[in-house]
Amino acid sequence: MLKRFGTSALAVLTVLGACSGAWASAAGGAIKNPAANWQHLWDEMLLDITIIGVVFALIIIYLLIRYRRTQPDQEGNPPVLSLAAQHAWVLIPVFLFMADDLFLAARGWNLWNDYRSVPAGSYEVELKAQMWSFNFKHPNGVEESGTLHVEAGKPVVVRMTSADVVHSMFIPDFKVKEDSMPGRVTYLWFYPEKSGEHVITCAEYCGMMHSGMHGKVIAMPKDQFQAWADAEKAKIATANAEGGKS
Amino acid sequence: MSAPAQAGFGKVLKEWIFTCDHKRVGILYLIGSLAAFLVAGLMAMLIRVELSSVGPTLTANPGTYNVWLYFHGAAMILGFQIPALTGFLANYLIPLQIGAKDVAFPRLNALSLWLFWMGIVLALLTFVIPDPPDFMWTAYPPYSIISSGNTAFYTFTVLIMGFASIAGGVNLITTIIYMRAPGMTWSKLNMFVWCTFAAFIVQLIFVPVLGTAVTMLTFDKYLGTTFFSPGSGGDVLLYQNLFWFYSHPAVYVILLPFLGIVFDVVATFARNRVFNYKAAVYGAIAVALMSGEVWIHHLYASGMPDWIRIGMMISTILISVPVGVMMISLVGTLYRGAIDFKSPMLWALGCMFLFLIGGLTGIPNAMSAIDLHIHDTHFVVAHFHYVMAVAGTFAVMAGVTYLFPKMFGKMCNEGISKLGFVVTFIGANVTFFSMFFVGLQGMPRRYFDYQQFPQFQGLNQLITVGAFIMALGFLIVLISWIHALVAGKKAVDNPWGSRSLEWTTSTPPGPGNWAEVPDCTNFDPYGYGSNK
Amino acid sequence: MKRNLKTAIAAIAVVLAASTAFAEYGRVPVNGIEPSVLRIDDDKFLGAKVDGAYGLVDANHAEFKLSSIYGVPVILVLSYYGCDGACATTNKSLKEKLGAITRLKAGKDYRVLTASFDKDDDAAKVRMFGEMTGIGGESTPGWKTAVLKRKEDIKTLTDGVGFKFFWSKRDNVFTHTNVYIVLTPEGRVHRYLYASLATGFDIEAAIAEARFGQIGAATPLRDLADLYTIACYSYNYKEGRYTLNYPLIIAGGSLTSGFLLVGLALFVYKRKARR
Repeated sequence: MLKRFGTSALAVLTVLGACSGAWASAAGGAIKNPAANWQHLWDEMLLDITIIGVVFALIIIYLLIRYRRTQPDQEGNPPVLSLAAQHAWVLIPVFLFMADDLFLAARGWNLWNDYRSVPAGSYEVELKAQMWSFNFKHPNGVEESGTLHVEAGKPVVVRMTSADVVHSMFIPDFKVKEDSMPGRVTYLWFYPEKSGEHVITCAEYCGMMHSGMHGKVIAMPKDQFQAWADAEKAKIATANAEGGKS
Repeated sequence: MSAPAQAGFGKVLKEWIFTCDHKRVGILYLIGSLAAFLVAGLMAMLIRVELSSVGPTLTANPGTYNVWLYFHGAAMILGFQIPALTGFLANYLIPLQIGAKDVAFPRLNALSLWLFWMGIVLALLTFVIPDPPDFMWTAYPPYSIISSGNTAFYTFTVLIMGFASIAGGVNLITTIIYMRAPGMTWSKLNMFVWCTFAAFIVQLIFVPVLGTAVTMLTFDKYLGTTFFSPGSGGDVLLYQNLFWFYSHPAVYVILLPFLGIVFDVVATFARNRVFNYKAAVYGAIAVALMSGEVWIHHLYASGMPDWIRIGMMISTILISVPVGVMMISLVGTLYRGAIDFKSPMLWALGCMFLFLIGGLTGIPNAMSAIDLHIHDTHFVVAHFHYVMAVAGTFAVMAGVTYLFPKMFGKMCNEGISKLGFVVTFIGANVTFFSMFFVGLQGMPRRYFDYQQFPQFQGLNQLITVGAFIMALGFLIVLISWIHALVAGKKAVDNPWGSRSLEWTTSTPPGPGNWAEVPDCTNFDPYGYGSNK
Repeated sequence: MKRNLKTAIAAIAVVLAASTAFAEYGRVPVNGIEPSVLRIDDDKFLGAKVDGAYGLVDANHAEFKLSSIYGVPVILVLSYYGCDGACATTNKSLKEKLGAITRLKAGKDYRVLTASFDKDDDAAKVRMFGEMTGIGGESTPGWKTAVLKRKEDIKTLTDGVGFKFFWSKRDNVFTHTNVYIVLTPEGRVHRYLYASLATGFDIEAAIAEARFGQIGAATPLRDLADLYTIACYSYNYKEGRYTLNYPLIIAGGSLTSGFLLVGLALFVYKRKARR
């Protein structure tokens, strides 16, 4: 069953391609880590919506208690709004809402630019997602599936496409996610500042084993990473040599 | 109802099946949508049990689980929410609220009802056919094209439901424009009529786009066309765009009528005018106009060009402005009212609170940069259940409880009804508030298992407990309805003391609604208090 | 009557059969597409970055960096100047095709670079090539002809974009892919257009696509024209050209049908009421 899915998928979509949108490149300077800025903006926004929510809720609760019906035949005594009051009750809230909205939108746009501006000199990895695994290819030709070894302290940009259906690379720890799909090239970047392991998981429904499609980013110190990359490359060389002999 | 007591069961059945009466059509819509609600709700329970532990719990086959998810989503939206609000409530209420004898095209109305029922039957067949769809209600290609699930089945269900809603929309728009009673001007319409009118316009414009999108999907799968196949000129993202081009406005097709009925219930039980009525009406129209310009927020993480993601971030955030204006009118309706906490009012207030939480948590979702983390996680699931799914269901409950005496001439037992509300309200909040947290930590949606996140098991169990509390609540509500039908007290013509037009007729209303067409020259649906 | 029907059905069947036959043989793109050995595996190379640090030398021995022509879409043509036929044709036909595009201005909206993959080429050969084809001089603004400064770069550049070439001893020529590589303003591979197949419109669409979505740099009018092109046409990998975006056109039609339905309902009711 699984295999049938896989092969038919490959058969249907052997010819792929892409339409890479504009890749903005950040001008030099310090690397702005979107994950950190995300947390900052999130905290701000949470405060914002909590205040609005609590104010609304308190007003509603106050009105509910204050104006509860005390006699069975009691009726409301609504205020008569003058034309000016009618307009004011629209315009003032509209301005308040819009001010808040546009303030948040501006902050969000800023953060968005951080997310989409890949720092110069990032380590570029290719991803080919397929049902149901993440297959990475390093610049030195080393390929790995499931895990992605990277160097700590260096931004990583992933150039993505898919062999079959739409997938999405999601790394919760780096607060980043982007779909990969056949026929288009997409990208995301993240900044593993320290060494450590982080879950990669698929966030776009891709069939039976969607939830089983996960892997790990393994960020290692520079020298360790270099050693790993060299060892892996050597393995390929040996394998090629052996393949050539036989 | 109005059938003579001595008539046999067969005759009554025949009368109901061949009915063109808008009230009976409405009630039949209600029955069909409740059937979808119950089965889709059962699926939700299965889903929650499955997620209550890491690893396989209820089934070892993710394929089975994916069919539950598909059915839960598709049936709840297309089979329950839209038909319950724009089928049942709109059909039942609109002619009564505008003083019409029936809708403009009664036979077309019956046709759309039975098309809808065909859709329900077709949807329920999901559990019978050997290759049920497993690609969620969104059916994104290429998966829906290569899946062994039955794409044509999905397409036909969507198309039939779509035809039903188009016919219904055409009918009720014409009804509202041409069949208002003498003296019933546009500024005297109930909020529900206005909101539903706006919703139907949205529905009529956008449904055909969904229809063609899913039809092209089927062509791609079975007839070898390549509309969405990237291998030969197609584009996978185009389907997602077309789908959300309809399906985001569909959220407003649900939202607007449910706010409309909440407005009417709140006004009735607060015995008060709708605060700043005109602003609320313009708010509803603005929501309808803006509904078609925000769909990209479903595609923030899908590789669309940056400029359109930024543009639609702004339009999405700005749609909070008209919704906020409507919310102020709704809250203002309580001001200087005489609030009676009967069960319909409790449901309406519950809906307001849920909608408040859902609406506000929509703001982080609307921000494209913030959304990159929470997109397609349980945070989004919690958000849209708050803002649309549960809030909409609470509004339907408010509507049914509110209209129950009018429909069946019987009163629900207040005690059981209120108990049902309280249990449901607690359950809904336990379920979906916990979902925000698990989503924020990165639990993606549509997961059969979460072995990469074993730390989420505790929260998931809490969500499951909440879901069962909610299910118990709905069960109590159902019992209260059945109890009322069997042993309810007889209702008077206007049990809630409403000024709205539908309560001026007899309970339940006979054919033609009124003996004489009501004169609405001095009528005001919210004419409470000293300044009528 | 019945007989007529049968004849009609038969006639329709014949027409249908004929038209499918036409569809089978009517458009055969096979001639145009490169032999499979030379065909570039789009999937692997689309989106790949062409390093702007490559140094180049033009006919006047002037040196420049590849990144100096970035900023707008770049059409990269890999040729060799000792070529007696195909390369000159490839470049000349590109010149013709670009000349037919009135909406886009060379130099302002896009640039072209012809670079050699033959390590024996030098600035003198570039000059000869320019004299022979009229390309690279003042008559072709925004078009540079050059060789790579460091011969070691040839292999990295061609491998980086999947370009294939090999020396054929028997014929004493290079066998190579005849392709226009459209790069984005940032220097990433955006589209491969095969020289024998690509029309002026394909090039125009690829340029529009490659630069689309640049925030800030564009004027609204330019963006609208680009948007129109991208929305109405999409690249067809099978045929190697841009074809009409049928789904969007169909969807547009269905959107209008929604409006028409509302109008129709009102019209019908009015007529019914009048009667």
